[in-house]
Amino acid sequence: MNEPKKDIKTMLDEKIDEKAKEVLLNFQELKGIETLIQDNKAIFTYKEKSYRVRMPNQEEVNLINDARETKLIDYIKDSKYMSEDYWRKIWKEKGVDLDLIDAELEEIQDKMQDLLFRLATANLPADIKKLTDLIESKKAKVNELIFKKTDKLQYAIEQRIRDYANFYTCYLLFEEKKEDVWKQVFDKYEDFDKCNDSSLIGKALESTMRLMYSNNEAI
Amino acid sequence: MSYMSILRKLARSIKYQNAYNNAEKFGLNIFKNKFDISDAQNYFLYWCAVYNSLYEDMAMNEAYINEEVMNNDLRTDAYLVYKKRTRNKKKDDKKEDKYIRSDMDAVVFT
Repeated sequence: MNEPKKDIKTMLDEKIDEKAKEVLLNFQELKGIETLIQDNKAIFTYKEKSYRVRMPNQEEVNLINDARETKLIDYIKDSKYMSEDYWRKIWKEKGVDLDLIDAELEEIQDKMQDLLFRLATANLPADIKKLTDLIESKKAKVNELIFKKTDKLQYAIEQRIRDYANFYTCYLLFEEKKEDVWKQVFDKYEDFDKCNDSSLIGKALESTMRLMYSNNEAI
Repeated sequence: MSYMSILRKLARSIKYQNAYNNAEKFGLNIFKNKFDISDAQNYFLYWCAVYNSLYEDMAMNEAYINEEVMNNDLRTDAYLVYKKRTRNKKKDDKKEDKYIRSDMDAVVFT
């Protein structure tokens, strides 16, 4: 009779541990975001090392703009790179109308506004649940359509430039703490580009996006 | 919890609502930097202002807003849509009312 009791206790302890870990993680995430807001620095730990992404100074802003411009000229000069309009035309010929996706997105957004208005004035828990689920399903549909559109336009010059500017910004502002001094992680953009630790780069990019483009729902 | 949810949670917290009010009334700083406000800080200030107005609505006993709604991002978004639509409707009604009154005045004077 004692054994099962012990098992239940162990299970409960594990459950409490899980919950405690979750609470701790949420707390760390909250503290991290509070630091970012307070001090314009996104700090994170990775493999027991401290990293951060900070705001650019004016000189660095100029460097980012110059790098973006140089890359744009390279893409325009090179005939293998095409614009978004070109890719829209190509996809339309292949039976994927991106303009229709845009129209569908607008229609769903309008419907969502109506549903949100209804949710605001709903009183019964059952109605609130039903409307919440409906809105969440519309949001999922919006994400699906945006993903489809982004996927189809990923090779367009406009998208390539956006990606490059984000990567370059990240490379420039990404620092590691060494003996209490913050130093740039990569000496050259090429080193950043060649880095095969995708988790580290992913975290750095996420921090850059949070700092620089905070009104993006996707982050 | 997503980044956006945490940002909104911080913006509606008593700590940052007080900081926001003190910044408005006495010019005290919310952030460590005085200048070069980042996009993240701008967006945070936007949400501080939104929640500040919602706390005012709650204090005025406005319909459809309460603590439960404030702590739910989706329901807060819903209330903001409701607020915008009813405010626009009130504006339209006022315009219409003004138009009718000016019409009536015209009748009196002619």
